[in-house]
Amino acid sequence: MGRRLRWPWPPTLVRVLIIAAWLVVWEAVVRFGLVGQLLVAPPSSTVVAMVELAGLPEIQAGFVETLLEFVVGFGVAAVVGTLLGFVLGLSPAAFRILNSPLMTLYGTPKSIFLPLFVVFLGLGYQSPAAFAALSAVFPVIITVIAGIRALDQRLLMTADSLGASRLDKVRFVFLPGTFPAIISGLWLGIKQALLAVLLAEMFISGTRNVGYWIAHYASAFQAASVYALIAWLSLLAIALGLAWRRLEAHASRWRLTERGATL
Amino acid sequence: MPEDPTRSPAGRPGSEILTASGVSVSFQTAAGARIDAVDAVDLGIHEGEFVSIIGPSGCGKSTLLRAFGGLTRLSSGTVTLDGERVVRPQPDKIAFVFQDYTLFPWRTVLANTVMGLQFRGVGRREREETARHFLQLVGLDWCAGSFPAELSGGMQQRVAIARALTMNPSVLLMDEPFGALDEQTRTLLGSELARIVEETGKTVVFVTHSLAEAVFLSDRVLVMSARPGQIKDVVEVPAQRPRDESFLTSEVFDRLRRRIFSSLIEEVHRQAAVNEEYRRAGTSDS
Repeated sequence: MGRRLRWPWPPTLVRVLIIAAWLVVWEAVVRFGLVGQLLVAPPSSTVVAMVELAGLPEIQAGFVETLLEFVVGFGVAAVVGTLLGFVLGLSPAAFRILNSPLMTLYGTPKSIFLPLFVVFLGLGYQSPAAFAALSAVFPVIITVIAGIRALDQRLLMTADSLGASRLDKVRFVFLPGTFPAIISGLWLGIKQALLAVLLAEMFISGTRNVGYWIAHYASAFQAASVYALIAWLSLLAIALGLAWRRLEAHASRWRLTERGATL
Repeated sequence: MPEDPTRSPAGRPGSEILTASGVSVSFQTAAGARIDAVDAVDLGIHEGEFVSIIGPSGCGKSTLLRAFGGLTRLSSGTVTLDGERVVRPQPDKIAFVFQDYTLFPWRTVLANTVMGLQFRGVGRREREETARHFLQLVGLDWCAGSFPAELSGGMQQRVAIARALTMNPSVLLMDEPFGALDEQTRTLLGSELARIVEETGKTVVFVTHSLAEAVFLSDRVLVMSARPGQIKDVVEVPAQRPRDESFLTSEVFDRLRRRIFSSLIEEVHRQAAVNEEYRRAGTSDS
C-alpha cells in the first residue's frame, strides 16, 4: 500500500457531526425567520410533532393502512415478478413473446394509470396497493431474468451429468443460483412500492392513510406535522433497508468468502 | 503395430466396456456455420483401463468425451456402454469431472458431494455417509462444511472427484480436470488420482493438454488430429500401474513423451492454421 491521506477523525464521528451541523443550520434558519415557519418547521418542532402524532389513534390507523397497502402491493409484485422472471428467463419462447410488451409497459410512466385504478378499484386500499404492484413488478422481473442469464452454463452441464431432472435444476441450480439476484431485485421492488403507495395516497386515496394525513396537514399549513410524518416514513424506510441488507448479505455469504491458498 | 490400434491391445485384463463406432459430432455456431468437431471415431476401452486423449486445443477432445457420456447429440455413429447405447447422461454408470466451475458455489463441500445421490433420490443419512467416505478417500473430509470459494483450485477438483465417485460409476470421464492448476499442483494431484484409480479400479478416460500427465497416468495415450478430430495415433505405455514419481524421470517416460510430442506438434500447427482460416472466413462474412 502506498501512503494515503487519512481522516483525522473516525468516519462515524464525522458523519454524526455533519448531520448535527445540518440540524443546527436548519433550526437557526427557521428561528431567525429566514424562511417562514408556515412553510418550514424547525427540527425541534418536528420532533415534538413526531411524538405527538405517534400517540394519535387516527395517525396510527393511517400507518397501518399504508403498511397494508405496501405489503399487499409489494407481495403481489414479488410473487408475480419472480415467477414471470423465471418463465421469461428459462423459456426463450416466452421471452420472445412477452418481452417487448412488458418492456413497453415498463417504459410507460405508471402514474398515467392512476385514474384507471380509481375507476376499477375505488378509493380503498386496493388502488394504492395495485399501483404499487404495477410499479414494483418490473424491476423484479428484469433482475431475475438477468440473474438467470448470468448463471454459469458449466454448472448446468455439471447438473446434467449428475442426473438432475428439469425440476431438480430449477430447485437446486436456478433458484439458489439466482437467489442473490432475486433479493436485490426485490429490494428495488420495495423502493418502488413504497414510492408508489405514497404517490397514490397523496393523489387519489379517500381512506385515512399516511398520504392522506400529509396532504391534510399540508393544506392546513401545519408544517411540523407534515415533517413529522415524513420523518416517520423515512425511519420506516431506513429500517426496511437495514433489514434487507442483512438478508442480502446472508443470502450471498458464499460469494464473500475469501479464496484460499493454492492446494 | 497391431492391425487395429484403436482396439484395446491383446493381453489387457477386462472386457471392452465403452465402445465408440463411427462417432461424429457437428454443431452450428451462432453465426450459422457448421463445425465438424469429431469425425468418425472408432474406439474401444476396456474395463479398468486408463486412457488419455491428447490433442491440439479446439480439436474436439472435450466434445468426444461429452459424446461418450451422453451429454452431446451425435451426428452419426453410436456409443455403447456394456452393450447398451448411450444417448443421454447415465449418472449411475458414467461420471464426469470437468475442468473448473464444477462445484456449486452456494453449497458446502458436503452438500456438493451428495448432489448426484440427491438427484438419484438417496436418503439424506445414506448420501451423507457415502459422501463423507469419498471425501475421506480424497483427503478432504475435514473441510466438509466449507464453501468452495474457501478451497484452493486443487482441493475443489478433489471434491469434484469425490462427488463423481459417490455415484459408483463404471466409467469416469475427466475433461482436463487439472487444466486450471499450476504445474506442481498438477503433479501432486496426478499421483493422487493414480492412487484413487488404483483403489477403486475405475475405468478412466482422461482428456488433457499435458504430455507428462498423459504418459504418467495412462495405459494408452490417444493423439487426436486437428479438427475435425480423429484418432491419429495410439501410444501404449508399457509400465505397470500405479507408477510412482520416479517414473517421471525414467527413460521410458522420456522416450514416450518425445514420441507423442512429435505426433502432437504436427496437429497443433494444423489446428492453428484451421483456427486462423476460420477467423478469416468469419471476418470476411461480416
